[in-house]
Amino acid sequence: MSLRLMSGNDAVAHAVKACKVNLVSAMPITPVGPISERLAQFIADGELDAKFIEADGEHSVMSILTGACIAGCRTFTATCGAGLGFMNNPIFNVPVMRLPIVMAVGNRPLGLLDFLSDYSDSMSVRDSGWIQLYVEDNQEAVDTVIQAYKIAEDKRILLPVMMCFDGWYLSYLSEPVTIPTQEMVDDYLSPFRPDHLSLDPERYLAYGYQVNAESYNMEFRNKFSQAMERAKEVIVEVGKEYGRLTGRPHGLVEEFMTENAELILVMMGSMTGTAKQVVKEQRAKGIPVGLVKVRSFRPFPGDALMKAVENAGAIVVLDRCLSFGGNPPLFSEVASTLYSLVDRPMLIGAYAGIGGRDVTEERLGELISQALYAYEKNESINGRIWVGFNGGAKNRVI
Amino acid sequence: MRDDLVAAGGPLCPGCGAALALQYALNTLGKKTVLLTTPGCACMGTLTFDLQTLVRVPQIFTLFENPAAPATGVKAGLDRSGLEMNVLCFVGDGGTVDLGLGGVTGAAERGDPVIYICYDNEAYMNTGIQRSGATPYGAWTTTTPVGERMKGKGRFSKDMPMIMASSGAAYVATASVAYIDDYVEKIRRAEEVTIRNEGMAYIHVQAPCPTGWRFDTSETIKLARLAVKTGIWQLYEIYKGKRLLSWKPKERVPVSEYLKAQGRFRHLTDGQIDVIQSHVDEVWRRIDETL
Repeated sequence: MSLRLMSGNDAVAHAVKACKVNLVSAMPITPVGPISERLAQFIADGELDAKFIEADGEHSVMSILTGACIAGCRTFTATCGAGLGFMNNPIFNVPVMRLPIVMAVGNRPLGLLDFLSDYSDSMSVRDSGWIQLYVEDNQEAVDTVIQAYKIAEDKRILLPVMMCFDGWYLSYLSEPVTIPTQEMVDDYLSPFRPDHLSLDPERYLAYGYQVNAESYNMEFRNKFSQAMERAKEVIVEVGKEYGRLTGRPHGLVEEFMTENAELILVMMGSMTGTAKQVVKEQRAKGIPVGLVKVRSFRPFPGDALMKAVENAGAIVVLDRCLSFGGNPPLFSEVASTLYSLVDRPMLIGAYAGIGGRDVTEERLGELISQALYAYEKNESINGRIWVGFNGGAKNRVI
Repeated sequence: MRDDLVAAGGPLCPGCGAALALQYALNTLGKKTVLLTTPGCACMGTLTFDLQTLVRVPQIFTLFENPAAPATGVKAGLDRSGLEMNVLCFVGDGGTVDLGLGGVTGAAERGDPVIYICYDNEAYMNTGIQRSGATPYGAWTTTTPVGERMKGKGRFSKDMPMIMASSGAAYVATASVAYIDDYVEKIRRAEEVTIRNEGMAYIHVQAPCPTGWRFDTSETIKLARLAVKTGIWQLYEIYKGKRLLSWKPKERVPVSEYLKAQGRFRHLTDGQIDVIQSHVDEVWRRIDETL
């Protein structure tokens, strides 16, 4: 294991190669196209013994992976934004067939033509039954891809995983990463042997079978729901084991300077890196602020989050996408988690990084001041704080 | 038959052409076949009313719009594990000509060695007789109704077999349930082409639908035969860029005989019948010129 300078896309491709996938299918899309280019090259050069299928659209990509996974292949694809949108229908098919497919989503806005990053794409399929892990940097992207196969293929889970990493900010960013050695990955990740999938003519199993309201539908959903609950345990277990091997453990949430913090920021993805720096500087000035990064959004780790924030006086939730006419995804989850607390902290909602709007140290500093002012005066903020609205350092409350 | 790979007791309508086409397709290809079906008549036909499967081969229920792509994945996976099995998509015209067009032409272009049979009953029959891109000119459907301002579908259908041929399918054939021997022979040829890994094999079989076309359930074969004898349905194969007619009527029966035998064309004016006759004449003029 040695440090190498590479882009997020490159790093993800190396991690996928280390997982010895059997089949890759993908479509070109900015800003994650280089992942599939690199994997195609690995396959062309004989460095990865897999099949690369050039698809005719993302819809076909996910459908190809579905068929290949049923036939026993460990599969991979990468997409984002509109590509994920086009995949929508087959995405919902994968969890119900219990297919442990892994997909990298280089988050990109859906709807408006925008190349930078927000979570309007992956959040549009948050209820599809895929496990969703959001990462902070390229090292975590590498580590999470490798863990994703172990989580997905675990016999207690058998659900697909999306490794969500911010498009552009991470996918095109070059930074030093460590790719675990092949030996280590082979040791960590056993070959894919799906007992529940077979195309044996003597057994003639049926997949994607029709269910009716009064027959199996509700019971099936109950089973997926239980598997998703179990995934909380497995994510922690898999992340700990990975930590023992690499020194980089992972879990459901990550706490940063939460001890004795009066104000805690709750967020996901690449803006966490910047926010950690800001929190560190504020702490040095004696301001009692801390941070919680939510790594697993599905399943949502309510207990772990509660434990991390229960002693804080105020929580600021930073959402990187909207739910028009309602509460955004992370805010909703945090609010409903905190509801059972007797002594509930003040809850402040913020939008940050919408459409890829840069989340700078300056803007985050301003956000912390706004939140602390409200907290100290015990006056709730009427609306949400839009971080970096109209550019500049000033955040707007709307 | 006892060895049928589609068991008896399915919920399809009496006289269903698609049921016949599926039965012969699976019996010809045998047990070592993975079947992919989309939501539609044939898919429903593989289930009993209490949702037991009737097909004695591994089966994947795909989405309406994507059958060809999972077939590609299945084939790749089987190859990897060294299993020699046919991969068969058995899909209606809606899932092929409209919804699944991108996927099926994509698989043809990539040369994926799977067999794709489109059973063409010329409308979305399972959802209640709505028009598709394969519905013929003049036909009544529930979305091309007959009234004062509209007299059935105003457009001709897509020429799907030719779309497949020009998309790179290694083998393309048309077939009819009235000419079962010819259909079975074409399925065998499709199997050979895919075993030799030459690319995708596509068969477009006309499957008359008594319910949607409005004719008596005893007349399915008669209608299918009339479609061929009038020249409305042409039987041919395309292999290695060459088109071969499987059968040519010596003298074509006037299309009106075929049209008047079906309730869906009952409203046609003489003018509309003439339009259809000239269309068929023109198709055959071009066939005669090139073949």
